[in-house]
Amino acid sequence: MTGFLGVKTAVLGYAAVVQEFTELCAATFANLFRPPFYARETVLQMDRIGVGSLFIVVLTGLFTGMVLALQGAVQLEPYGATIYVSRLISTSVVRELGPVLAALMIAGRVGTGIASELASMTVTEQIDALRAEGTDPVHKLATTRLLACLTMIPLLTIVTDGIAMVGGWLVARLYLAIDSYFYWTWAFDALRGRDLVIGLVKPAVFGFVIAMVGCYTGFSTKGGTVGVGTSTTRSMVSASILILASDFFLTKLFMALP
Amino acid sequence: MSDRKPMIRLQNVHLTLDDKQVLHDISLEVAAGDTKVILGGSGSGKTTILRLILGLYKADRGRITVDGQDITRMPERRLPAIRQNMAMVFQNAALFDSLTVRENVGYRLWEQRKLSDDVIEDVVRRSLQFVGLEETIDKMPGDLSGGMRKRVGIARALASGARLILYDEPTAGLDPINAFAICKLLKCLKEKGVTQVVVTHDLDLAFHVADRILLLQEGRIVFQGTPRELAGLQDPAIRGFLDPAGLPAEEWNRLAGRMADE
Repeated sequence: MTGFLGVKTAVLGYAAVVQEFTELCAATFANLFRPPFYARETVLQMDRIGVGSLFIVVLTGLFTGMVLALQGAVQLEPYGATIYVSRLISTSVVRELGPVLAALMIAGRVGTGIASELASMTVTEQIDALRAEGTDPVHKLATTRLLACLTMIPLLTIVTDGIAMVGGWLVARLYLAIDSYFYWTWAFDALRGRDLVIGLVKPAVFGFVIAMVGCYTGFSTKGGTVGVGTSTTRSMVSASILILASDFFLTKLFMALP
Repeated sequence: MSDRKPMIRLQNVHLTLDDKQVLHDISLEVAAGDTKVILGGSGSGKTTILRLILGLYKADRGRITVDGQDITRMPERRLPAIRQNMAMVFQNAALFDSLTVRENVGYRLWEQRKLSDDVIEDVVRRSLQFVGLEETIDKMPGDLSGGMRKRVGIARALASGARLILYDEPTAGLDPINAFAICKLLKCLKEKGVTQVVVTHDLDLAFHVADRILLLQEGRIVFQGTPRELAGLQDPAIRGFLDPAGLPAEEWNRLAGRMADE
């Protein structure tokens, strides 16, 4: 009986979290179209998220492209198809690795940053102080961060994709002796319009996940400074799992489309 | 009870938080221009009452009216309009870390965008002058001491032009000089006709500023009346309760004697 009650309590607890998260997402998204628009705060967040994350996504893209070129060449060599390695790099980077790896890196840097900042504000009563001042904290803090993530994460993913292809080209040129003309011709030839759509829709969805998980864990923090640490960890773990899960479902969805 | 219009009215309010009933059948009124002090031990539900008045918590039962408007079941999106007439000084001041003292104090005015920058700057400076901290205007909250942060919190409440100010432990953790400075500020605001609700352990502050005092014990009201009535009270249960709330017996006798003299 005790075990049953424990399971029931846990299920109800998770249901409450899902309900609260959904309500926060709906309110935050609806605020995108309602004044006030907090332009200064949004630009500040775009700078923090976009410019601040540029270095890590450049490194992520560079090494991902280089590793793909090395591994791809090993697989293609028995068939004498090493020259087509750029096709493998461009499609896998644009469709999957660019969006997912960039999102995971950004979740580590930006998502945890949002969670810890909002968690600190929650435990020091700054969120309540905002309410007391007549400001809706969801509008001022969550909506501005969501808008910044929705715009900057697709842009950062484009940078990641581009740098990954450059990384692949460096390896192809220096180690595999593939001519630059062939590398870039096959790289772009392999890409279809649908790949570019997938490559932009996924980072927008991941941006939504990173912003909302960070905001939810931040706003729901309890328990002082220990709670801030817990929320930061929860944000990273939850965002990573949701990114990987949503990547699977988005891939399935795009494959099902005609 | 005062004949003036009640600014705040709580009627038979009950509240449960995390499966624990923290307030039982609370009824109180604060008349416009009055200063009400809520006394009680830690965990007695004092701060919770402030949060109910601000609309940060929703009561399980009962009715809460602020400035004639029933906020008991008011949705969050309508509350900011009610809160425009209120301000709260939080226990740790809750200044916004990322903003300067100037931006903290003028926060509400800049958000409302009803006044020009010059006028707001003037209001901010005058508010800081009132609390004696004009020189800190360009500092960040992290550069201020605890007492200064609380005074900036009061300046923020003043600058907002609120007719109702709620204070959560305004003198807690302060040295006697800073506590006295805050006590004087509250008296000044009382003379200006601002309605104030002060939650405190500090009996000296309570007896200095209160028009009426409310005593809470484990979420229940055990006394409500004037400071004079409290000072003259012989009820051993209340006297016994006040000692753990921070009042040594000799201090109690001194306060009671002073109230009787007055």
